[in-house]
Amino acid sequence: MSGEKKEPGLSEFLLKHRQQFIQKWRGLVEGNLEDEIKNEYRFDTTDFNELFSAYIDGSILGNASNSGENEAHFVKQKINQGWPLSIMSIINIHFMATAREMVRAYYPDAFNARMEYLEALSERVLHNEIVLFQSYENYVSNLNTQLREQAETLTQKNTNLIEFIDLATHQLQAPLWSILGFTSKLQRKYYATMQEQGRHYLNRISANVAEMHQLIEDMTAMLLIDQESMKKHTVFLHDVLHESIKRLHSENDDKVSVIGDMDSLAINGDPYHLRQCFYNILKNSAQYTKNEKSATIHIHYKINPDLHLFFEDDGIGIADEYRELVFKPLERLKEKEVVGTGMGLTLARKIIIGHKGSILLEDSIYGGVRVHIRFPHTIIKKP
Amino acid sequence: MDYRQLETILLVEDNEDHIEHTMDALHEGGLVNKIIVIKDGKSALDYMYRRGEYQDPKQSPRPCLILLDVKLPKMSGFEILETLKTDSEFKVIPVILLTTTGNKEDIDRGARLGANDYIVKPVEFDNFMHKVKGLGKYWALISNLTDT
Repeated sequence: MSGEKKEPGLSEFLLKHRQQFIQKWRGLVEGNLEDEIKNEYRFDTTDFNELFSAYIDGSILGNASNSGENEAHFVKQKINQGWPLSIMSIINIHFMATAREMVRAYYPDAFNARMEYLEALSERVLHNEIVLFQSYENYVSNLNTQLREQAETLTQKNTNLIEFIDLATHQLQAPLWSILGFTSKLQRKYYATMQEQGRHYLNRISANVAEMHQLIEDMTAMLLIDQESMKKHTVFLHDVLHESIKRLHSENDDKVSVIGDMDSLAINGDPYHLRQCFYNILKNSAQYTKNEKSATIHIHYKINPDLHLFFEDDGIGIADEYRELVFKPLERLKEKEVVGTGMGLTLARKIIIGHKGSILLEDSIYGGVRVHIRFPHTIIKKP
Repeated sequence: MDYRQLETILLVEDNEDHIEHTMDALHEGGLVNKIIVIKDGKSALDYMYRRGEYQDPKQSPRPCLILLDVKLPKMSGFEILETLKTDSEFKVIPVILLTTTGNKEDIDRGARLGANDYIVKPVEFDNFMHKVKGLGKYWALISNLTDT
């Protein structure tokens, strides 16, 4: 491979052989145009001469500062006359081909020198591109390695965290259960013989231990619930809802009445977690009743095309400024003293987000709160 | 099946208080079966396979029911469950898991490994008493039926 050679005087050469060049060029262009186009757009020597002048001075030869403008002017003029761009393109391609062939015929040495020059140039460009590509490849490979290592570290940390939560949960619950066992025994065996104050203390111990137990359960659930932990399949919401209502009734006797249903709606969801979510929402309504009267919860839905579920109650309601706050962990509004850990709605939201849905609180026409759940793209069966 | 085998319930539990509570619940449920308590996972398998101190069959009668805590020293309840449920000799013995949490993963894992039931040691201790008492009556009935 020879080194870089001097560029031959192409422009001088083309000017010298102007007529011959135009003839060859015209032959090539005309040979590649349909008769219909030829007739329609009327190619004549004047046109070619004009275009040739523009090209010869043009940026292809690179020897005139205003050549580009001339060429552009010509092209614009022809386009205004109705010449399609495709024809301009054919003319341009054959100009280059003609120039190359004529140089090869009249100045083979110069032509070969130019080819060698281009070949060397290509080789160099190719080499540079390969080097660049390899450096990119190494860079991407290093990034992938880093990402893989980070993913492994994260997985390991997550595993450690889950193991810790699991261990901590059991270790924290075990002594609580011991305490509960003994308080239960005291209540069953010695309650009758205890003084009023003693009974009060015992009841408070039981209630507090029970609350701590529930807090540990809820916090564990909140840490472990995510989209990956959901085991989704076809779930009939009527079944989920009624199991939640059954659990609520078992704990609140007949204090809560539920009106409405979800009919035969089915979605792709995790029944265990959805049960927990619906129960938490119902429980919340059951707790925040007006005075001590019973709670009525109205349930309905709409499809548009997302599924919207509504749980509306006639309770004390939640002011606008607290409607996001109540979804935060351990937040309890003190409008009313209720038993609970302050995790119910936090868990409900986490479960709904695990289903790629959303949950928010609104005003209810029944005077209390309306819990609005939206499930996008999850409906499997409509009623 | 040997009647004497049906008399024994094996309680695998390491927490002394929990042992006391569970035994109380079983006795209050009117259960008269012999209850053998083992406090770690490895010893539970030694008992079942009659190894070491449990070599004498008279000292290690086959249980008709195993109450198995999930968290145990040396070997977890799940490992014991898996070993027993993949052994043709023991897989017919009902195993009930005892757990301090209602953790869904634990319950699902237990079910996958072949646990027959589970009891969450719940906050409402009376519920636990109720469930264990029911269990006692059920297994006492099974024992009596098999005996006659």
